[in-house]
Amino acid sequence: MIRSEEVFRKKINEVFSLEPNNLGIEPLTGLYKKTTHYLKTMPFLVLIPASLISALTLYFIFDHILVRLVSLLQYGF
Amino acid sequence: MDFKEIFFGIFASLFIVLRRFIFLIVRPYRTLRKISLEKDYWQLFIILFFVFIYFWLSSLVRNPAVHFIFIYLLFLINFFLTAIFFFFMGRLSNKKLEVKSFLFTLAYSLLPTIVWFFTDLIFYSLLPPPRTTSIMGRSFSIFFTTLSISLLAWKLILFYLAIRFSTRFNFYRTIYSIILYVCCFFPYSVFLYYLKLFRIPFI
Repeated sequence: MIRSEEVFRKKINEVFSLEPNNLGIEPLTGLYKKTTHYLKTMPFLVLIPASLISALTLYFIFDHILVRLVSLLQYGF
Repeated sequence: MDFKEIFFGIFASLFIVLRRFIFLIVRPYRTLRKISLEKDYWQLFIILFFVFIYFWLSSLVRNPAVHFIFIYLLFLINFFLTAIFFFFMGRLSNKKLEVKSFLFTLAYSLLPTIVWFFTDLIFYSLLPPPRTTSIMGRSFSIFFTTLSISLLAWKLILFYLAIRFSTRFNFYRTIYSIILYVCCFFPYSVFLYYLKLFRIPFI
């Protein structure tokens, strides 16, 4: 009983240790919450397709420059 | 504390670090929130040891201008200065903050950086640059760009959460403090680049 009470208290402290974000403008706060909802759990489900689309867009716009950029990044470590 | 106890302590910490690495992929928000309350310093040493291994391996693949230990020490200075910078930013409005929270969250937010640099090292060994404009070269360029963008986005998420949970700042203050940090760090990175110490900053 004491153990579960401790766990509960710890959980409550954890949840309320941080004030929820408010961006000042209601639609902006809503947009922020909707966006972050997808990034809080399994963000790669969104990040990988978005990155692939970005990479393809960059490739179609810059073509050779992207290939050169990759070479430059490969020397980057 | 005997040797056996220390050994099992380190092993347990290593297990926690690896477990949290997976959880940072699956549930970054909840995991980093827990990490901000962490007290086990072995985890910090383990992450910094992974970085040390990276610098050692990269020195074997490419001969750096200076010894890899010197570059590693520079990385450590960068890392601790970053933690102190955000700690003092947070202390301006909240006196109850602890520096260890910054150290743990920022250390765990190094994970995407470690992954990217290790991947880069592996690809450099397997497919040495420069890339060509052949179909294979173009396909690899698209793949590598996709990988880099997703890891960068993951890094930004973890870095933002690290600052938010450690400082307890709201969205705007977190963003302002990150912008201020970038303003200070950018000229320093350019300086290190011209000294041939870091091509891409390890942050």
